[in-house]
Amino acid sequence: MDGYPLMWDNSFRPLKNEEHQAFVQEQVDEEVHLGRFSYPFGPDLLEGMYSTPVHVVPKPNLSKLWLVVDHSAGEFSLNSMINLDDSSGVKLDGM
Amino acid sequence: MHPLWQLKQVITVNNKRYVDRCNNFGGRGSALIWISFMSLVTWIASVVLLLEHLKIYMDDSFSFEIEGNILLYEPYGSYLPHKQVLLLKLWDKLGIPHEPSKQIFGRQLTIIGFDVDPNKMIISIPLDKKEEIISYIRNFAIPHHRHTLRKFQQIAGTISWLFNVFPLLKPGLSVVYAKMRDKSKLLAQIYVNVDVVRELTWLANHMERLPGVLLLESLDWSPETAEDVVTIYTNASLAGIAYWFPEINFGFQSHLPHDAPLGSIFFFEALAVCSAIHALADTDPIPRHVAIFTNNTNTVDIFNSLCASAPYNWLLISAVDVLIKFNVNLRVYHVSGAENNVADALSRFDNDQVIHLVPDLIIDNFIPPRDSLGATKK
Repeated sequence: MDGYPLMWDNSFRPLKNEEHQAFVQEQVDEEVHLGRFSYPFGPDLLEGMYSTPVHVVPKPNLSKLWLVVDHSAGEFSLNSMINLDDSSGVKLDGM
Repeated sequence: MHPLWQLKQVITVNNKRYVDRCNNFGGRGSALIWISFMSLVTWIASVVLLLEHLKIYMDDSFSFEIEGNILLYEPYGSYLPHKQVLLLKLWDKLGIPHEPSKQIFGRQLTIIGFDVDPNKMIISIPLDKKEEIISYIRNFAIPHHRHTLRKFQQIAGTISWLFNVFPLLKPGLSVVYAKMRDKSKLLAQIYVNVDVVRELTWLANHMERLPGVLLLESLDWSPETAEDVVTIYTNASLAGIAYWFPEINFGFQSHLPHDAPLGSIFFFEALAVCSAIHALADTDPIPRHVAIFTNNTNTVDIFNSLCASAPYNWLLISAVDVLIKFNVNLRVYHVSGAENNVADALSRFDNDQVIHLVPDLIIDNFIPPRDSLGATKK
């Protein structure tokens, strides 16, 4: 894509507290176990990779937490690469 | 996801990198991908498995089944409705995960937050939920406050969802949508002006009084099948507006109001329909079903969709007030100019022609409803 760097690390967003840190690690381990996330690697990104920040929010009306992966954060965000015209007009009951 | 997109979805936790391989709902394209996928699954269920009446809203699949038609679903060790078991088996075959706690059935089901009773044919909103949303709307609609675009989008989403049980209240979101138009910065502040307050308060006031129950039967009628239908023909010309009740043989005409917010013929066509709806208040008995005919397709569209921007939206709000007050079901239909000749002659004050067409017609004057022109309500 024009004007986008080959590699972009925008992952810096410190988690609020230890509870959130523990929760995120637990979620990530679970996703790896289920095959939805790759095994860990690093610490450096490889060519072509972008890393987006994560944070934690409470689930509405529940005591549980929710892992949010922020695809809209900052410059060169993933969502900025997606043309709104291609994804808008989705009708939730239009199946 | 495509491997090249997976590369963009790296998550960093404790200095370790992980590639997120899946469709993440924070992504702008994720809803479209999800819907495409679930559409295919639903296609397989209905075309290959021949499961009839399968409905879906994002990740909420639902249907109905004759009571007692159940099957054992072995993985859960419990009996579930026939169609539900077949769908779960399809999901298992495709590798789509599901949880027992969400596989529910009963005489009444909660579907996207509404209580749906297929035997009574009603959809209702739980009372506590209704009250919660009314106070949410009232706390939002405070004059001279500002909210972010994101908050505007959230309240518009919640209210749109409510229209499933309050379909007549759609005009209450017109200004909110107008304020959001052409804006994209989610944290940008938007001013709550008097029009926003007026419409949202209108919406909340009606919600407070309405029971929040949608009778599906009330949606399923047509002028041909319903028994107590009253027909009205309307028209506007450069001379005036008119409506004609053929069954009771009454015609009404008015000169164009001099203080209308727009001078276009389309506005007056819509005003004619709105005026005809107001005339229902003087009928006895007030009909349950009303079919209005106009030869203006834009007017047909705005009254059937209940979607329009100002000042047309004022006509809709004014009309809906009458429909709610007298519990009238309305349909607006298109008719050719030739078939609308009586209302046309009435609107031109060509009363010789009117009497020629309908010899014993009684002709009277009317005043268009003031609130439909945007005048402040008393």
